[in-house]
Amino acid sequence: MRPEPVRLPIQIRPAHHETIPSYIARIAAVHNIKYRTLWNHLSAPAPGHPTRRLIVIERLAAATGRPATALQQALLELADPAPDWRRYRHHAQPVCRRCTASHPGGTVQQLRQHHEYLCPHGYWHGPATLAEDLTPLHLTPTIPDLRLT
Amino acid sequence: MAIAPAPNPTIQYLTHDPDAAGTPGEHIGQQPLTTREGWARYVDHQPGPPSPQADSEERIDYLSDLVMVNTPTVTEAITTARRLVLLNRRQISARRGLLLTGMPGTGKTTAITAVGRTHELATRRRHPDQPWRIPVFYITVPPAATPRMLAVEFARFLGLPLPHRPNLTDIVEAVCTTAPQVGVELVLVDEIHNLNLATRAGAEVSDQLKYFAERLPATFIYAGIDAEHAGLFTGPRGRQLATRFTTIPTSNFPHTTDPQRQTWQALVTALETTLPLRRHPAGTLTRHAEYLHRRTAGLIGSLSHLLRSAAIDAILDGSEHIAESHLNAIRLDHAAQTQPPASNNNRATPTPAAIPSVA
Repeated sequence: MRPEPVRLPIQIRPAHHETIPSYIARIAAVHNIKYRTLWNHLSAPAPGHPTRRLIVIERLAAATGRPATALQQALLELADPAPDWRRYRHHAQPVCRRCTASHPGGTVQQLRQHHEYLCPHGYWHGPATLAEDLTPLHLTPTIPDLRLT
Repeated sequence: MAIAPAPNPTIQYLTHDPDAAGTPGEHIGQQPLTTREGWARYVDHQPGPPSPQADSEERIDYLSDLVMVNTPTVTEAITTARRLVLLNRRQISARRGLLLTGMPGTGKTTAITAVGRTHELATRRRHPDQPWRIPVFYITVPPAATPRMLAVEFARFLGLPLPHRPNLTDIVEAVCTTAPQVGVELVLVDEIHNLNLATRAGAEVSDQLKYFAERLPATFIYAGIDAEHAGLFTGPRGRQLATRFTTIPTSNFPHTTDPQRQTWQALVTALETTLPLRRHPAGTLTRHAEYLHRRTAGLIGSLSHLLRSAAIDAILDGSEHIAESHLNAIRLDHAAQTQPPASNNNRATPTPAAIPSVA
């Protein structure tokens, strides 16, 4: 038995559809603590799998000071009911530099659906296998034209 | 571009903590003062005396709480700390500090926590739109402390998660990264007498404390039993502390000269006004001031204990006023029973402005 984790001193919000490891890595980074330490703090052994640890929503909510429902909306992996994963790409991808700037603690890794090619800031983020780097669209004027046609 | 691992389609999570002790949030009320939650609860908890007509349980509940009285020591500590915080604001190293030292029961912890509460409330008033601020840290030096234990105390106050075998460097770095981001301005270190500079472990803890004082942009205030005579200011480390720390001695209240008697009476009156009794005229206990000083040896902690205990007895027996029999029936702590009354010269004569008042 152990007590519920207390709220961490620095509060950062999750990005839209951010992955759990990305969110926890950013929280660990702003506190300068190790990712594994924080992960162990927020997780518990999976039933029947003592070596596998799963995030406990209660603990994550207590540590981040955010309601569990808000976390489940932002972090797709916690959604209930679970999303249809066939609609999402196989890999998480980093968000654009402007999104990163608004989320402290490092680069946000985000889950995107297959049809999502543009971020709200106008950066191209096609499938991870194709886009090796996020490109501002004003440098590639043909892409929005293609998108519009 | 780094690509994160693919989300596992079979990923699972747990909604409820299988290891949780009690219901969520239940433990918050049990947090000690050396945690952020416990400290915040202490700062927020400022009950006023209930009406004498209130329910007995409510009044006894209030009396079970320590009533804060602004003694000359508390007032001086608050004033000095405020001045030091302002002076240290732009210092990048060698910040000035404050040391509260004195015998047990003379109100060191009460004074240091009053300083912290005052500063935190002032910070909240100054920055109402920044609730994330943690302007005051309160930690105690553990007995037989090591540098790692001290660092853990800081981390525990902040609520930082620690691995099973915490590494000193990792903890210190986490504390020193987090603390400036939450706006720390005052670090209160109690039980500093647990730090013995004559031993190697004590010297290492002192060095660790000094390292924190250099890294954290805050004013440090120490409190401990007879700290200046316990070797805190001896040796090279101690001499450095001595050049940076202002000392405020705390002692039992003397009762020899007229101003001293006046201060003691004012203290008794201040405490008496907080007693929620139905048939107890204000100023009654002033007549017993000399008796109270004899009983408590001038120790404020013992005086508070005596008056609150007598008030509880008066509520329970229905008399609703404190008589001498109530006071005689209370057995006080060993220090008050055996310590000789304070002499004239163990404390600076309080000025008229130092008359205590209820906080």
